[in-house]
Amino acid sequence: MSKKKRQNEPLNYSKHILPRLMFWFAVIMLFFPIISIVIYSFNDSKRITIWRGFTFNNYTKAFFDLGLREAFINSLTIAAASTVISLVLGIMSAYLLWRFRFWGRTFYGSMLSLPIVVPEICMGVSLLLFFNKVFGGISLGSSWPANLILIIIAHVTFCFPFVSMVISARINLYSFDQLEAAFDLGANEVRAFFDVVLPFLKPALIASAMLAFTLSLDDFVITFFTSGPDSVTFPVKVYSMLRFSVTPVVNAASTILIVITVLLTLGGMAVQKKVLID
Amino acid sequence: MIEIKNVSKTFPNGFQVLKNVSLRIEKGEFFALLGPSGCGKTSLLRMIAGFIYPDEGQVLIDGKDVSEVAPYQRAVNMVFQSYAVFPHMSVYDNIAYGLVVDKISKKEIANRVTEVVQLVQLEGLEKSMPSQLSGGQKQRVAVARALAKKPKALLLDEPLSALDAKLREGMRNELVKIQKKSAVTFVFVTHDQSEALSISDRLAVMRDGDILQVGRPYGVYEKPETSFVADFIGSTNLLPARLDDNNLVQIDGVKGMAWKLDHKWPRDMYITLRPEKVRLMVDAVPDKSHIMAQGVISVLVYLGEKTMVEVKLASGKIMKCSLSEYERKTISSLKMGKRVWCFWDEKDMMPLAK
Repeated sequence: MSKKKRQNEPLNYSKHILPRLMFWFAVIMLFFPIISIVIYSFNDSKRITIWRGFTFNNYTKAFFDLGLREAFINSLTIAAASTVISLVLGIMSAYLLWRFRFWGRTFYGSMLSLPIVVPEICMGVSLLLFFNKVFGGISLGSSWPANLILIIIAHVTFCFPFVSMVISARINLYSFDQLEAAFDLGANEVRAFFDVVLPFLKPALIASAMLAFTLSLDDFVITFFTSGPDSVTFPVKVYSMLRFSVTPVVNAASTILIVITVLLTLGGMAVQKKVLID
Repeated sequence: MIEIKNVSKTFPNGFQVLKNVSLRIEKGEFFALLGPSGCGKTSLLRMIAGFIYPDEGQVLIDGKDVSEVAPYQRAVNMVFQSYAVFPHMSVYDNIAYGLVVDKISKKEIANRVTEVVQLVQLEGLEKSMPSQLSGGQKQRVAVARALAKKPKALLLDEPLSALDAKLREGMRNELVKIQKKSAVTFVFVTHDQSEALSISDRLAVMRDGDILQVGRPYGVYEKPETSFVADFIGSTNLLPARLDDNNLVQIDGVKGMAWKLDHKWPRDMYITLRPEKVRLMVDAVPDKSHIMAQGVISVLVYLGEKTMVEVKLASGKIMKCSLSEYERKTISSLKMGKRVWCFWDEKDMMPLAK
């Protein structure tokens, strides 16, 4: 009996050399590049590879670089706008799939997650072609923030499926009795939605908003295809800086992006735990 | 007053849940819809609430046809089986919700909430969140929330089934008290016959989308109109019987019958006889004035306040007999396998068509 029980316990990896090696190999391969970027962002040297002492100068330079600052503001604006739009669309589609039975419902549900599996490069190219055909002749204006509209549309296409998925997972746990109780007490469909369904979705809304914001902030490929010379985002700007010269300022800029992303992801994960309980 | 007129309903999957049902529930009544699961009692309740619409027929509340009216525009309120208390709102906000939706003044809302909180005895818990409440307390919130709207009728869907046995009995009496005090019509769905008998002013027994019998608990219990009702309400002995050419009832192995029915009864029929009406005699023969049958005790179950005895009659039929504690003590040697006489009176029997 005791022998059998022991077999079901997880293997203690510290007793075996091979799994231990594999673990550390994976950790180093994953994090070493990131850690080196962070370390070298404090490097007091024009050359990126030689350590010359600790400084905050690169961060000051990054802050006063007008192009970089503009790109950063663009990125935050795009992320905020596409998060809000994705949330509204995500809530509507999840509610539709939960509340109604209609012809093609399953098909519609699976089509929602299609942008997740389509390769980003294909999305980028197709959006580029699409925007040229549709908006080709019309100028949306080059002044801020009208110049960001196309990028926002593009970002919504890949943020919305994730948002919709997280909200769907939550809303499927909702008891129909609650909605009927609200109807029974005099609330119509709209009122009941805002009073009793939306509060239940709150953890899913927070988690998916953080997810969407991070995805939008980080995106390079799709943005690269849809942005113009007067609408550069932070990752695209970092990429173009790299082409001229690899300076520690790029490291500093990247570190800022990493910190924001990690914080948002951790926040999202903390809330996400609540999505599937209670 | 609620009137159901010739209502039929078939679900999209083809299941006919209500078959030409008609029913009248009077104002201020505590009315129970009783039946086994799948009999359509909950569907009928949901139809009064407005969650399902009838295919045919009408639902009238105080004489007004509401068959097509949405639930949020109906003057009836429901207590759900799961209570459906809103988890993100305090007890006060839950109870006030229906009044806030109706845009009633804050002062009036406060008055009405205080009133129903007292009625259901939730004083001091107004600020609590539902997660801090027990099942019984949540149920009170659900009742208070519905009553705060001063509905024409309160609809309760198996409200006691989620509570444990001890709490259920207390809450049962509590509901009766609340109903009498508020004088609101209560319509109560249950599959538990003892619950329906003890709690309701009148009840309807349902089966397969039909209402079989409507009446006061005493009347339905004493005078069941079908063998299903006789068996479902309480426990009963159904004895196959026949009428002879002189319209005298004949039951196999039963002596002392001189019971004449009118000629309207079919030749083949049932006689129903409640177990508590059957008495036992062990070592002697009962008085000739009784109706009697001899058999052997096959099951003996002591239940505390009563003892259930099953006697296998000579005809092979089982006769159930319920003895009170007092009766049991007067019979000395009650044992399995013992030969006994079962006896009862003519007035205890009820004829039933097959």
